Amino acid sequence: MSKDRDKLEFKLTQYLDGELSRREAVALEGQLEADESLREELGHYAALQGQLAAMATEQLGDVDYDAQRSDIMSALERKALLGERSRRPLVLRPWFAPVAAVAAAAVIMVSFWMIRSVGPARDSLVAVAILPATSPIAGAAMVSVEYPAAEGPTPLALPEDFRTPSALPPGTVMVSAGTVAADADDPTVDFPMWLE
Amino acid sequence: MVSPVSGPEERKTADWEHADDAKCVRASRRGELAAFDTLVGRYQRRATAVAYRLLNNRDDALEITQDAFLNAYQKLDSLHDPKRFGSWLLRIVSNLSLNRRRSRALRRGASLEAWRLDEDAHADLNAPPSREPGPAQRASAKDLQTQIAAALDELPDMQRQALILFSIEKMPQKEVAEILGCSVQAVKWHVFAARKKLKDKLSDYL
Repeated sequence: MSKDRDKLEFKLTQYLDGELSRREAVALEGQLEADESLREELGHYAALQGQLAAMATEQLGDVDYDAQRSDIMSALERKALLGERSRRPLVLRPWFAPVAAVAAAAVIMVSFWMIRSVGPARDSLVAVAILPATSPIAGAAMVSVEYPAAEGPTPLALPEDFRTPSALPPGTVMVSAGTVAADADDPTVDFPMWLE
Repeated sequence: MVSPVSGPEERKTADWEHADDAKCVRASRRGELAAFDTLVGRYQRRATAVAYRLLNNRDDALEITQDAFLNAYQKLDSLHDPKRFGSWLLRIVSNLSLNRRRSRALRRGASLEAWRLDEDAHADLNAPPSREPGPAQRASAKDLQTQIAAALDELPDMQRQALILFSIEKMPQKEVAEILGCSVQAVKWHVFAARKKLKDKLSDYL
């Protein structure tokens, strides 16, 4: 069968599917009028299409779809109980990072408030860094809370490596807290706690 | 119908009936089986029908359908567009069906290579049993359907799948393309090639 004939037969099937443009359909109808063998081919394709369409309505006999559905769900329940579903990678929601940072800072501030109330006057520093799960480390969010001594707030510098913790993977939540003496030259020396 | 509700906070299946596929998928990912139950109810008939057309065996079709839903649930996280659950599920059904056909052929001890070499077996397996004009002319409509099913079985995988999904299951070509992982144009040609082969093979009956 020539390629031209194949193309023509392809057009016949497109015609039956209603895929030809009006112009193409009219042109093909002209060819059909002039070519009896082409009309015969169209009849074969139309009959085949009718038979295929009839198969769609043929039912699968006595299939009990309710029972099938119950079987599927029972199997799933067993699997769900066994924890067989594939594990998803932990993805922090957009609101999680700032909320977690503020909450952590608040908790630690309260702790330091309590410590200060029984000890000598010292500046307290709480810093929380959230490294977003999906963005580069350079975009890390950071919340720092400075708790000043009685005489007033003192700006505290964070250690440089704390601002750009390049060695840590995205998604890391770091909490650093500590106290520093009010008269210390370097306020970054006393960071006793790192949580990652 | 099973209503897989394990706690008062979980919604029942009926609650999801009007939710779209994307919502049901997202809820299923959170472990709400009732949402997945809704998806099962929504697609089980079509999935079973497609598996049946591809396998031409009722029991295999039912088994494949169940496996497909279980696989789908386990791999829900890999579904990028939850709105496309239906196409994605049918792709799983198609792939599992093809695997079943291949393993069935191997179990019969007749690999495709062996089919090509063994002319007798080739004739037995591939030729319609009543190809002669006499009996064929007397064939009832049901017999003709059997002939078509046998001819469908002989088509190459892609052509058979494309024809079943488009011409029998009446799916849009775009959706068929998604299921088969090819272009719409490729679907058109697969469908045409399949029709042409069937038409030539069944010309005595059409």
